[in-house]
Amino acid sequence: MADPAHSRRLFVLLAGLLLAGAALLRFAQIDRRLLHADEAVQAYQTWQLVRGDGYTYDPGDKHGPFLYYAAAGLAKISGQTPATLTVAKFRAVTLLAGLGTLVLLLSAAPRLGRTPVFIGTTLLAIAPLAVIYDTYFVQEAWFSFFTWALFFSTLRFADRPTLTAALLMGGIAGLMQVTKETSVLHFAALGLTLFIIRPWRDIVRLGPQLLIALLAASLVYVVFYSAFFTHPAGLADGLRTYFNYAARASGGPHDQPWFYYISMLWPHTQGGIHWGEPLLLIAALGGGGLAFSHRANPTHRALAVFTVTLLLLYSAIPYKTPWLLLTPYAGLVLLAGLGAAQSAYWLPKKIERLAPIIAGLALVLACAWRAGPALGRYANDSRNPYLYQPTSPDLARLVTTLETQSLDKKIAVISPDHAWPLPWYLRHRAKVGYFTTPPQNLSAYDIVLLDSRLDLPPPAAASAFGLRPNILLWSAPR
Amino acid sequence: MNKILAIALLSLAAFSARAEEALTPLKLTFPPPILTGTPVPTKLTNLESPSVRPAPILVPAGVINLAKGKSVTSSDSAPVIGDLSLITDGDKESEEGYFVELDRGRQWVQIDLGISAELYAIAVWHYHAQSRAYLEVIVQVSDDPTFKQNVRTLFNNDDKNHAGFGVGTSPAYLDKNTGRLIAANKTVARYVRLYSAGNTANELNHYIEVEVFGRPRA
Repeated sequence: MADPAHSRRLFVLLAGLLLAGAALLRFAQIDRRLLHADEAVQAYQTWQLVRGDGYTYDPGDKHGPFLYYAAAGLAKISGQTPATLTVAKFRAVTLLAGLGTLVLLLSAAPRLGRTPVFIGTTLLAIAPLAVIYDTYFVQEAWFSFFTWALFFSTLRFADRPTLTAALLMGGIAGLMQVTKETSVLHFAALGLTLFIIRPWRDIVRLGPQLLIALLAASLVYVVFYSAFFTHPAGLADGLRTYFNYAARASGGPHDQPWFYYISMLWPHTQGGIHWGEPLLLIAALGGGGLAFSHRANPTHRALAVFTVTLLLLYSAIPYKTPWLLLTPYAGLVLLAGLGAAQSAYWLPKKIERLAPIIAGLALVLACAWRAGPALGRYANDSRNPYLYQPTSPDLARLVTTLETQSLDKKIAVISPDHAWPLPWYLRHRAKVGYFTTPPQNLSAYDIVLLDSRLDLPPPAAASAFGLRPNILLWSAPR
Repeated sequence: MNKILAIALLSLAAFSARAEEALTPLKLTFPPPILTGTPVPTKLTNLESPSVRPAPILVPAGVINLAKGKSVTSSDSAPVIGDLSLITDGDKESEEGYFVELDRGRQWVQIDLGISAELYAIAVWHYHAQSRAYLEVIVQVSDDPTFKQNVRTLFNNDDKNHAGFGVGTSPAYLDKNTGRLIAANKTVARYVRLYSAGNTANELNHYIEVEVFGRPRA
């Protein structure tokens, strides 16, 4: 029988190595892609905040204020100025959250078991979805981190409902809400999970502590939405956004069928490239089943219910993007880890002791096999199912060309959506005009960039530059 | 004297008749258009509009696609998607199974026609299921398989001379189902090499089909 202390030390050592490897992989990817349009919007807003232009919450089309304040705060602490901010530095902020999620999952070993947790965390460490969105300057990595922090802190609170546990849970819930308005979906999934794994009466008894948690969450809400007590109107705007979100969630250009997320992971080919993570799905299904067997504990059951509920909720909402899968995906890898760790249950007796290692290795190798093309050759390709409307790497040509132009040159960008991420790359220029139709004084501009989505004759002597899939920018000096 | 003059004139007329062969426009066959995703409006003046067909290339009788079924080599000898034989198999559809994908950066494909031939036109289809332009497209012919001697450039839109073959003056163009027809002007050569350096959508290079129209040199 293995010495428990020795076994614990081995786990800590392996966990440390895993985290170091995950960090290296993410740092290697940090500059692999040009800024996505959504990333550029966040980066621009943060850059304005660092520059001293302030920030007020916009309930129209923006997420919560957390990411901007976190990135701006870290920039100030590390001595950055608006001029020294780079794409990699922004992405390092979300990379921290990605690594934080891995630490969270590893720290759940006492509840879920070391083997399932180690296999699951290894899968998440190399998963293309996680590597890509841990190095994407959007809210999702932090949102996923807070969600899993809330999940485990809620389970802890349910076991030991102390004041500290209530404050911690409430604080995390507040941070989730100020990160992304979709936190309500996660709160609902967690609420359902609690009701399934705990008797109703137990939860009712926690009423006073839950009220304290709500107060803690409200305090976080007030601090962030009021822009640190400087913009009281933000408090109402933070709630008003739900009406906008309800409108956006039902019908729009980002609508996808209900099976979108499952089809991402299901074996398929796209533009001649084979994709899919069938082994992960099978193992997660096995783990989900085992969570309700006599071999499992309440945390296993909570994990299964929470993951499946999140998947169902996101599948039911028409608005879908790959990064929304990030939080449920962390649950899926843990369930897959559980399935692999318990694989001896259905594998031959002869290999009982080796079964978790064999199953875990098979899962990790299959995931690495998929990560190769997703993070390498097709890291910027619209056929990569983990990407959504990626910025064409060809835009770098345009950015380089524009950098050689004098700052005095006047640039007109004519595009239905400002041709993001272009405003980020042109942020240091004072003489850039953004138009949805050509301005009357177009001849006053030295360079015209025309979006191919507009049904307009292109400028003379134009060069073509890729912006996004099927979208080109015609660039012409005048 | 008059007899000699008359014979000379008749001989010249007969020679001219042989020299001036009947020329007809080269006809290509096109695959059906396929465009996935949002279509792009294409009102272009300097870059060929997809709705306007290029000027016809006149060819004499006997001109055929010499590239059909011929062997193809490439700077990327082991493509991840498809194989090099797809480039000369006669299929021009843009779906999976019809194109070969070459690696990132500048890559070339080369067709050995098997014989030295008088070339009239080269038609190329890169990829037409998405609106994109391939970058730094260069088409060269030569008698030398290593393309070191007697290299002639028929098309070059590398306007920054990144490839080092000179500043290209040919226009950039959007790929479409009608391909790109390039005049070869009766150039005599055995080997055809086509370069590209990624495209406006991603960093990779693709070929669906290349047709080389000509006739064996007499």
